[in-house]
Amino acid sequence: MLLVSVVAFLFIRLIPGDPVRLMVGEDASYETVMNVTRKLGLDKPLITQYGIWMKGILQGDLGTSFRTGRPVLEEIAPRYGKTVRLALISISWSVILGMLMGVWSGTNVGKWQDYFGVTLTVAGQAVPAFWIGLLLIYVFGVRLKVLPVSGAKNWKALILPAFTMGTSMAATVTRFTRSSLLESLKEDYIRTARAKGLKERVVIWKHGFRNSLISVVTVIGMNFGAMLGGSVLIEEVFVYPGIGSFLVSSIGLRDYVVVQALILLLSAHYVFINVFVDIVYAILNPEIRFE
Amino acid sequence: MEKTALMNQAESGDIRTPFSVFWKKFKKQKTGVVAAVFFVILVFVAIFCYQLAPYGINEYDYSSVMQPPSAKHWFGTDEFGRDLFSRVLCGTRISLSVGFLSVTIVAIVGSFIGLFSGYIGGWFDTIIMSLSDVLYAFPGLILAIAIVAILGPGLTNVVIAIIVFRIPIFARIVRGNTLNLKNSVYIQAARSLGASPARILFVHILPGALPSVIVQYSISISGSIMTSASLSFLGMGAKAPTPEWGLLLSNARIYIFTSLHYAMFPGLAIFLTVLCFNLLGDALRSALDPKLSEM
Repeated sequence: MLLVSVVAFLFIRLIPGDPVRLMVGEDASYETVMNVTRKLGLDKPLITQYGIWMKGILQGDLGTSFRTGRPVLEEIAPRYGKTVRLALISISWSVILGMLMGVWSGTNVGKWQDYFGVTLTVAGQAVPAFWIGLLLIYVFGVRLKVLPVSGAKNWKALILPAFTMGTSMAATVTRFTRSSLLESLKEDYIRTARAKGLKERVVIWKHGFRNSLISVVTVIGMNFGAMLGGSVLIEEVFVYPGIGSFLVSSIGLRDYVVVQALILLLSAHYVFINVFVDIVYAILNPEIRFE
Repeated sequence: MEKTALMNQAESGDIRTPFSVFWKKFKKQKTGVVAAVFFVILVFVAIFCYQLAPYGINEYDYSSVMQPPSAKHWFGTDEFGRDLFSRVLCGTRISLSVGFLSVTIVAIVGSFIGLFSGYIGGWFDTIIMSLSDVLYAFPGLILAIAIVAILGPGLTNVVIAIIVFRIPIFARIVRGNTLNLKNSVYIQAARSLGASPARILFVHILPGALPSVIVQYSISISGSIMTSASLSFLGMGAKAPTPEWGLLLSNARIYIFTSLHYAMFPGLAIFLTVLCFNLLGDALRSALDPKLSEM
């Protein structure tokens, strides 16, 4: 995580273009430029700058935005909440639907239900999210005029972006649920469960599905990071005021402090999710827990 | 020269070479064969796009702006009256070039790193793997965005970004294979026969790692085509008037409220191309490595 922070810090310093010039304007005097540079701490050596930044982070201070002069934390917080809300809605529907589809498809191998599921899966994994977003805007926003196509004013505005964001995740979850269910249905304990005369529903959900969950959880964890990255695209398409669109606009304005804070935040999430997945693992799999 | 029994067998097609085994398994997968055919078409279009396109890609015609699809313009026209069909067709060359160029470099560099890292081990391996851990800690697209933000927008920089964030994937796969094979009996045999490390690495270990590299190659191409389209869509990739699919979609955004065709076709092109390489990758995986199928 420390290495990540160094990389994030250096990365952003490498962006060409002078943020001070961008702030004070092209024709500001030399003194003004120097004053602002000093005020922002950009005249100090890189290591000192990094030290100041790190010290701030540990104290919960992510620095001050070059552009607005407000603390970065204050700038990010409301947008962050919006992105998290969108991501949580997306992941909830896609995981639930994906698991249902996966079980449906995996228990009907070779029938139309399976072909239907597999086709949707393959398509869902290949479709560019921003394209789906645009098509949805056209159908629901322009043609049917039933849903808002931008912003985050009410729950209705969340439907289209959340749907778009979840498509690839739903496809991935379906695929892995299906394959790992097929795998676990071959096991001996399934035969035992059937031989006991348990209902097929119980056999599939309690004995088959539960044991296939482990690999599904890994895949969800692995793809959550991709989803965070994808949020940038989706927020752009739907003009959603989250951290993704904030990142793109901050890069354009060379607001170092904001960009490095956002990149650190997104990566921290990624690392955090991996730890979380390990914990869920232990809950699902007693073997790992006792080791 | 007298023919040996083995040569006769080879001519009659009974001999089991790695390729014939692979081909037999590959042929069985209908989707894989369809994807392979589509792949050949894509490459053909990419090479001959300028001959196939009915209009020039930058042929302005202000008398027919934003026309819906018609017999004259199959995919309609854009905001400058340019023929969208020709532009999407020529976008194939850009996307495939970006995909193949970046992934070929990644596959070569990543495989080398993985081979050496796995074979040498020790501190070298530790450093390489920590570096790849750091790159892994950034969500893929975010890393690509950060790299392009530093280097500046443009297709060359998109290729560099894709290379940087995909190298760890190949390095890890090849490293894993190398670690597995390093202590296998046939490598020990080679070593005891006095084979040099270079010979062991490239003649004995590399072919063992090749199936996973080939599968990853196909999947990575679809991934990098998607990344380059995404970056162009965000205004960080190709610049106008390049008919890059992501850029076309980005231009189509403001017209989505009036017409559908502009956004429809470039997206469809990305979708079908990515689909093709994904299916090809799946089929290759089942044909090359039965253990890995359905992963």
